[in-house]
Amino acid sequence: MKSKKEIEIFRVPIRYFDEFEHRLFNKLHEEMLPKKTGFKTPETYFFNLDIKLKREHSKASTKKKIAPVISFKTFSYAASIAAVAILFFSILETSNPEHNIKEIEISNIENFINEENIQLNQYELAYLFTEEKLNNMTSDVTLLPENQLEDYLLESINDSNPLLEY
Amino acid sequence: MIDEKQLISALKSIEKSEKAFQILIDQYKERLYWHIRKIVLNHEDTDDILQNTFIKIYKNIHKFEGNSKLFTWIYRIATNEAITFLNKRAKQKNITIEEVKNQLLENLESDIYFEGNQIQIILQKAINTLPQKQQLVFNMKYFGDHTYENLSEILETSVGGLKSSYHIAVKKITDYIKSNETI
Repeated sequence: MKSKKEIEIFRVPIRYFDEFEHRLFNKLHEEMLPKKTGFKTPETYFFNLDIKLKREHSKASTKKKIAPVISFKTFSYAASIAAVAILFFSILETSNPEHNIKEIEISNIENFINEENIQLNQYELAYLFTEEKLNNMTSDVTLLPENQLEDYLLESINDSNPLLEY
Repeated sequence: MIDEKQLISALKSIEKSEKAFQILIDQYKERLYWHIRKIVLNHEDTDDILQNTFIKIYKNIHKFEGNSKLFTWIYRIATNEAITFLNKRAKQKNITIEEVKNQLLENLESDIYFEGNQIQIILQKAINTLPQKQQLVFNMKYFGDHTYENLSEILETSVGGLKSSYHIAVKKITDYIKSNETI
């Protein structure tokens, strides 16, 4: 039993005792789990790894020392000009009323994109949407309150895309 | 132990990069190995990814601006390489990433580089039931013994969010083990 003096001197965080049991059981659950994964490596793996990596490092350094005949900058300029020219001529071609994009079935276009025959990233796609279209898309979506959103994301999302940017 | 700023500077310098790269490998090879291994489970794939990680670090060190700690940047590369690997395999086989990991788990018992017992296999299966990011949080906190502050930098998630995620993961794993343990 604490003396009156001890009660005055010592303090505890707010809700400490209320949350104590919850934290204790978390700790107990953790204690129950095996401490090791069971994974192991071949003998001398890390020693041999040094040698492999040194070899890769030498290859990469050698590649850096070889100067290209045509610089990447020049090549990219030439490629951009060629791409614009191709686009220009393809627009001229498609202005022919006999070839109308509306004639192509939507399902064919969807298949073309889904099979990744067109290299569009999410930023390029986002650029194509007008604000009006975006507003119409989101108007009937139910949004989670912010305090629940983080929990939902941590518990539920199983995103197959890389999670981190570096 | 070399100062981090000196190491980064040496890695970016043509004359010192080779020696600096060797120091980097010595400091990080085992930590990164085990980090990747817990994601992809088998040794051969881990070996490939680990080498690719170091090559990527070497090729991109000149882009590292020092806005985060070096180890944060390195761990992010390793994590992304591992997850990209699983994604690629899933795409090749036309299955989900969960199914890829399930296949890897099925092979675990016969894997010569796995010396765990039945409970450790069940633990790995339990971890595999968690969402991808929660698996990372659990593995890095429980086995990797990272602090929440380190994890917060690597995974770009708040400390509070990580603590919550970790405790939920522990509960789910414990429940899974209890319901799947055979006597």
